[in-house]
Amino acid sequence: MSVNGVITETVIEHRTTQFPKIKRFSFSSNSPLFRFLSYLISLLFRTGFRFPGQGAFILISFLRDSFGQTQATMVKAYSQEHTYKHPWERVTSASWRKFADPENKRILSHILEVDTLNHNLDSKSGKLYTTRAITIHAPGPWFLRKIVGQDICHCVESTVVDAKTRSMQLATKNISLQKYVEVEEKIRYDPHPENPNEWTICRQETSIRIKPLSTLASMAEKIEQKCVDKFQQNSAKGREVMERMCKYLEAESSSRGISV
Amino acid sequence: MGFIRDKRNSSSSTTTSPCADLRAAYNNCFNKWYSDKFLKGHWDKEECVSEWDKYRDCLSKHLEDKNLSRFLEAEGVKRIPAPIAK
Repeated sequence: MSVNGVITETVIEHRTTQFPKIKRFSFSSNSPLFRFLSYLISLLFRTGFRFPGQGAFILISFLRDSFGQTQATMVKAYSQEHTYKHPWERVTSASWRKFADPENKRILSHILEVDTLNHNLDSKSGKLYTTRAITIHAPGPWFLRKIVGQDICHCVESTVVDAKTRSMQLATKNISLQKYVEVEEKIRYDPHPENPNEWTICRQETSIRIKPLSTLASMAEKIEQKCVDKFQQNSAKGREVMERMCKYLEAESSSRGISV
Repeated sequence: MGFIRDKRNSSSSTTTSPCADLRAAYNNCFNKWYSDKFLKGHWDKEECVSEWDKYRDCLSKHLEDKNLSRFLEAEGVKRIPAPIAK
């Protein structure tokens, strides 16, 4: 039997191999689900995370806390404060322009589109209501794309600016991935009480709501199956490559009279 | 043998880009109006109406995501975020 023949036989054997389905499922920090969820949330955090660098830390501690419990829905909230040494008018103007500026676009390259869906001006009270869609590019593990069906995430941002009282409130929520996790970010810009004409205080509140564990368990099963499917596909691809390589070697050896 | 990454699925990321020019025109107008008029107390009159109409028409044609279209259709709805305690 030739070298090629042996290879072909091996391939047939591989095709009939059943990949054992992993039944056990645990929430360790190394589990794929843990990493998957961390990833999901970190993604959503990126929407408008005005204080970069803290998302990952919050996340990890949050996930460590929550998986010890078996509540139906887990909610966690975080709040932060920041003082801008700029007048409120300037800060709110900046907030509107944040995504459109070319320099920012480079830094916020994961923000693909920001579209105004709706706006309403209350000309009596001086209040401006705006709804915007924020589309985020979410390149991630292939299994995420398989499950979610896309590598983009949509968020909706609602804003109210009250020009009379000088306040701006923003609320951003994810529209995508809502089955698994809901992240809501609220931001409020007000004149700083200590220096209302020169400074602006920004208060931010982020809440994360993770859907019931039953959902997570079924999700984990799906991920698992997708992993197996993908592994099988890739095995086939790998075998294809091997086949071609073997044929190449076979042709080379026969022309040179050396057997490999 | 490694897990080969899926390269497709980038077309969905540019759903509203046909409206990019109209969006830029509207945004420019809006930002100017916001800084020069609205913040200075001239909020009695809405501006950038023609820019908005063109941009919105374009969006309604190109917005594929149904969850987002819902917001587009709900014109005039006042969505007030629950205030954060001062």
